[in-house]
Amino acid sequence: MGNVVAASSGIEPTAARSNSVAASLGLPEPAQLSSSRSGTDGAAATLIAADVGDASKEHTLENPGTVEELHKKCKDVQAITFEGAKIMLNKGLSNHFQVSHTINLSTTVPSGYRFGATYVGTKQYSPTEAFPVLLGDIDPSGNLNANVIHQFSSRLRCKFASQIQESKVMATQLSTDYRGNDFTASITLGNPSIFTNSGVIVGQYLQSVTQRTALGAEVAYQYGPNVPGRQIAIVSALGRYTNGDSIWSGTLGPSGLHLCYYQKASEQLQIGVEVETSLRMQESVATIAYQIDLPKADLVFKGSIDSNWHISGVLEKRLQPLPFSFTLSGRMNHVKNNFKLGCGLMIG
Amino acid sequence: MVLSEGVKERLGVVVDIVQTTFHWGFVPMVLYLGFSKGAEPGMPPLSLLSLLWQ
Repeated sequence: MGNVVAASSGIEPTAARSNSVAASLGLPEPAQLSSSRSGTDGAAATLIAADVGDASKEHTLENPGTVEELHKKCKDVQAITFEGAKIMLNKGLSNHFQVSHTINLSTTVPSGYRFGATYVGTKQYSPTEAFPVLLGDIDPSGNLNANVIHQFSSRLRCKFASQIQESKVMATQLSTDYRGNDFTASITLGNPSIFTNSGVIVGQYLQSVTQRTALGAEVAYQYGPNVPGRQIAIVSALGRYTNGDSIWSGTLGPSGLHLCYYQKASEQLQIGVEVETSLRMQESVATIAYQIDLPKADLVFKGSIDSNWHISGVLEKRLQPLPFSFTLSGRMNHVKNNFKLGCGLMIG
Repeated sequence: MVLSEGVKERLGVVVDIVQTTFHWGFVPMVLYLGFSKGAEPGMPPLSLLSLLWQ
């Protein structure tokens, strides 16, 4: 998703949260048809790919995934911290239906209760994914986050997300992805309004050039009375280079440069490095993050440090055999002298 | 796109109704879909209480 949409709509947290909700529900993540040659069979897969490649004269370019997922591997390694206490009860009523009750106590984000409901339909294009997916969560004062994801055919997928706060639509986003054999094209409409005549349109295209390289472009067009000159268009170039267990990805545009590097160092350790330069804000932030998986201890630890001296860590431990999962989060900044601690318990 | 004031007003009413319906209807719709799908075969049937506890 373009920075423009993120900046102007503020819906990204919703989408991110719904994704993490989906992940915690064990729901299908958007398909990653990209050549994710990670994991144990990475070497074997590469060998086989080399054999097959010789035979078929390397005409087998794979789908590169969406532009939205370009930096995903690197971003996933980074710790997402929270503040305060969180208790979440997940209840699966059937394979297609799940509800959740969340109590959040915090000084920074609104505290209180949230109710969430998820429905997963029966239309299947792959064994792990079913559509449509409807996610809704609402709090007692009526603040709603709604997400609808539907796959109309094996290539065409639509996503709708909306955020309503205090009976006002804060953000709406409708995006459509088309996955070709070796490319993905997406178009996103954000906050369209016929009354103020404003909105954001983002077009994205990602093409596999070789088996390891994907290149693409993004055009973001924003119009409305608040936009200087009533309309503005920003073109960015993007690319990704996958080499075995490491991935380079980058976005370059007039607003800045965003570079990501991801490396799977071993079965337990993954490392991500990110540099983000914003010309408008005149600042650069670099982040180094790592993730340690210890499946034997049912433990995942994510840690990161960035050039603003934010040190973050999130520990996630499943308390087997109980269906509980415990999360401890900390974020510290020695320079600004602040510290945030969060702990969470997820049941179910 | 230029809309006259009258059209804007009427469109505003329609958009308001759609918005309110969506706002208060979305989560109930998800619940309705889930309940109409029913429980898994061999499991006890779903009731409103099963939203809270078994």
